[in-house]
Order: sequence, then structure tokens, then C-alpha cells
Amino acid sequence: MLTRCMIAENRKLHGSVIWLAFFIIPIFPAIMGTFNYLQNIAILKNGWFDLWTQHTLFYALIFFAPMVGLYAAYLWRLEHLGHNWNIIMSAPVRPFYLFFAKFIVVIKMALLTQLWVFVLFCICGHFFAHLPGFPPMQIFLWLLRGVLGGVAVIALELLLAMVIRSFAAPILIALLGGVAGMAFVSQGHGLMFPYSLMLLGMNSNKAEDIISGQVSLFVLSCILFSLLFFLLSNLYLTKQDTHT
Amino acid sequence: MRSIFHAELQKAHRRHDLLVIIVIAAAVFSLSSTDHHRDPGIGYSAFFYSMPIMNALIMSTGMAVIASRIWDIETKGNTCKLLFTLQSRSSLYTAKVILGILEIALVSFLECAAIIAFGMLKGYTEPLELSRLFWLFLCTFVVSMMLFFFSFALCMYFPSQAPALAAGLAGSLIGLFSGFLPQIASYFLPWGYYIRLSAMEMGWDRTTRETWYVPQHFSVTLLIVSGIFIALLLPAGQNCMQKKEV
Repeated sequence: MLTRCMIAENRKLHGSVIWLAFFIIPIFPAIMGTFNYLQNIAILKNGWFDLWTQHTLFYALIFFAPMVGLYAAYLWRLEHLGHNWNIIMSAPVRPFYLFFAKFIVVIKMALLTQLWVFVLFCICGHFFAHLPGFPPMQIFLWLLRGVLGGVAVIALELLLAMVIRSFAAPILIALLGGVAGMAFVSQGHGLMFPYSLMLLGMNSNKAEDIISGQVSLFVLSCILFSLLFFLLSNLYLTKQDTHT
Repeated sequence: MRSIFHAELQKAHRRHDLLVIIVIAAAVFSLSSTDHHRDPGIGYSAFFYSMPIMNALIMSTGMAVIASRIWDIETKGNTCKLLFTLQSRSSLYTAKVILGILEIALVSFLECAAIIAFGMLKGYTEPLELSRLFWLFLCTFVVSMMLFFFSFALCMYFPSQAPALAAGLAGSLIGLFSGFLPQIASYFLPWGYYIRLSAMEMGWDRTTRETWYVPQHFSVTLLIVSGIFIALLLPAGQNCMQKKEV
């Protein structure tokens, strides 16, 4: 049944305007990051690592959470229209599967977004910053770690988009959360705030690994926050009566 | 017109628009508050410098959110077909635009009021230049209005709210980025006009880590350019409403 739910969610993305946002928006942080890197090339001596910090600071700080919020709001949008809540809640599937299918689809979108960001990073590094060779493998691992950090944000944004029946509100919350996440990271409390986890995972504001020695805590934080949001979503879907 | 506007206010009932406005203003204010704002001698100048930057970051998305929420009720309720038989399309557009303008005015006012309140609370010794405060209010209001009309036109043009919100997000990035660009290039990026209209510049000595603020002249020409954009976007939005298929 979960597979059927996932197929249905995937179908919503066919020919969707979301793909336009998916392709265009990551180009802006790539341009900003490369421009910044080239402006400060005299003091940035760590090659690919410095370009990475310039690229991903804006991306992880401003863009990732709202983009995930956009994906989440888009997937819940159909449910909030008309009497669709009645229809989906009377479908012969466990209510949590409705949430989890969307979660898997947004994870897929986030992974694709990360890969697109990596492609842009390689293009900018190679053709504009004229960096030699290919990016170090460590950067690719940070990219995947960013997805792990983003899992809690995805779960939270899906929960918000499910509860708040407005398309725009979860996106605004995500933007503010992303910027507040930076404050938590700078205070050293990044592991305690879900929106900071992506920033930590991506290692986006320092050339050296900022969570080395704390990786297990980072993974634990991602799992705990995700479980919390799953639990809250399950509670909402099973205990709350539907409003159409 | 009064009854049509009243209907818009009724639609806004329980939509928590006021909460959204307060959240946007509070976010801009709290992000603008850095360590420099604790120095009572330069507190107001620090705000006049940092608030336009944070406006550039937050407001584009914020305006897309406000525009989306004002229009979304018609999309979700599929009410256009009914409304267009009961009232003229232009009257619906005008009522929504007036509501949007009032909300933007409130956001701009709250930001400026927060500066005064914070200054009184922290006992700033720097004299508050009312002309600069009014300029900040005016620029925030006019540029936000420009971005609101752009987002509102997108909300009406596309059946989904996603393009308007995506454009708002992209606008936030472009707005912030324009602050790093040479002045002439940033004139072509209206999302960053908050920064270009700022009447305060910051100087920083890398060795002593000393910061100071330099008052700038008011860029009336750029404000007029923003006004021209508004004059172009307003009928464009109305055109979207007139041609909207129901």
C-alpha cells in the first residue's frame, strides 16, 4: 500500500511547475558563490573546499529549507483542496502511509536537488574558478550528509504543510528557520535545532569539517528529530478528525 | 467599494494575516540586530544600515507569502466564477490590492516602530534622525509594494501558487546577491533596491576591527524608478485578472 501511495505522489510531480523551480533556483546560489569566491580569491587558498563554502553557505542557509517547504506544500496542496481530505482518509491505507509516501518523494527530490547543486558546483569550479581536477571525494560525502541533515527539515516541513492549510506559510517558516539555524550553529547549539542540521551536514561555513568527532551525535540528532516529527504526524493523522 | 473591501476583510478573518505580518517584521528586526546595536552611540545608524539588507533577504519571500495568502482563498474555494458574476473583476483586484498595501504599510511601520522601541529600551545616546527613519519606512514600503504587485500578478497568472513562491525565493537570493554587485549592475535587480536605497554605509577597519557608519544621501531617483515599476506592475496585474479564465 505504501508503494501505491508513493506512485500516486510521484504522479503529482509529472509535468509540474516544481521542476522549473528545481532547475532554476539552485543556479542563483551557484552564481552568488562563484562570484564571491572570485572576488575573494586572494584570501581563499583552499581551492575546491573554499568554493564549496561559498556555494553552499547561501544554499544551505537561505535556499534548502524553503525549497523543501515548497516541495512539501506542493504535495499536500491537492489534499487541502475541495473534499480531498475525506477521500484520502477513507482510502484503505494506514493514515501514516500518506505522510510517509510524501516524505519518501520529497527525499527523492532533495537528493536530486543535491546532485544538481553538485553538478553546478563542478561546472562553476572547472570553468569559472579554473580549479584543477575534480572536487575531493569528501565534498561529495558532505553533500550526502547534507541530505541526512535535511531529513529532519523535510519531516518538519511536511508536518507543517499538513497542519497549516496554506501554501505559503510553511515556506516562510522554512526561510526563517534556515536563517535562525545559522544563529544556532554560530552559538554552538546546531545539533539542537532541526533547521541547523542541514547546515552542519553540508559543512557550509568552514573549509574544515565542523562536525568531525560529533558525527554520531549529528546522526542521532537527525534520527531523533525525524522520529519526533513522524510521531506528531501520526498522532495528527490518527487522532485529529478531518476538516474539509 | 466599501462593501467589497469589507468582504476581503471577512475573507481574511481567521487567516491570521496579522500574525504573518508580525512574524515578517519580527524576523527582519531580529536578524538586523547585531552586536553593533548594543553600542548606544551608533545604535540607530546600525539599524539604518542593517535593516535594508535583511529586508532584501526576507521581504521578497515575505511579499510572495502575503500575495499568495490574499489570492489563495479564491483558488482553494474555486470562487472566481461566482465572484465575477457578482462584481467587476477590477473591483475585486482593487479590494485585494488595497488590503495588500495596508498589510505592507503595517509591516514597514512595525519595523520602524521596533527600532524606536529598541532604542528607548537600550537607552541609545545617538540622536534619532527622523528624516532617516521616515526614509527607511518609505523605501521599505515602496519596494515591498513593487515586489508584492509582481508576486500578486504571478499568483493570478498561474493556477498554482508555486511559481509566485519560487520567484519570491529566487528574489530573496537575488536581492541579497545584489548587495555584493557593483552599484550599476544592482540597479537592474529590483529585488535588491532595499540595499541600494539605504541611506547609511558601513566602514570597517580590518586591523582594528573598528566599525563606523557614514550617512548617505537619499536616492530619490531610484525611489522614483521603483514607483515606475509599480505603475507598470499594477495594470499588468489587473490585466491578469481581466484575462483570467474561470
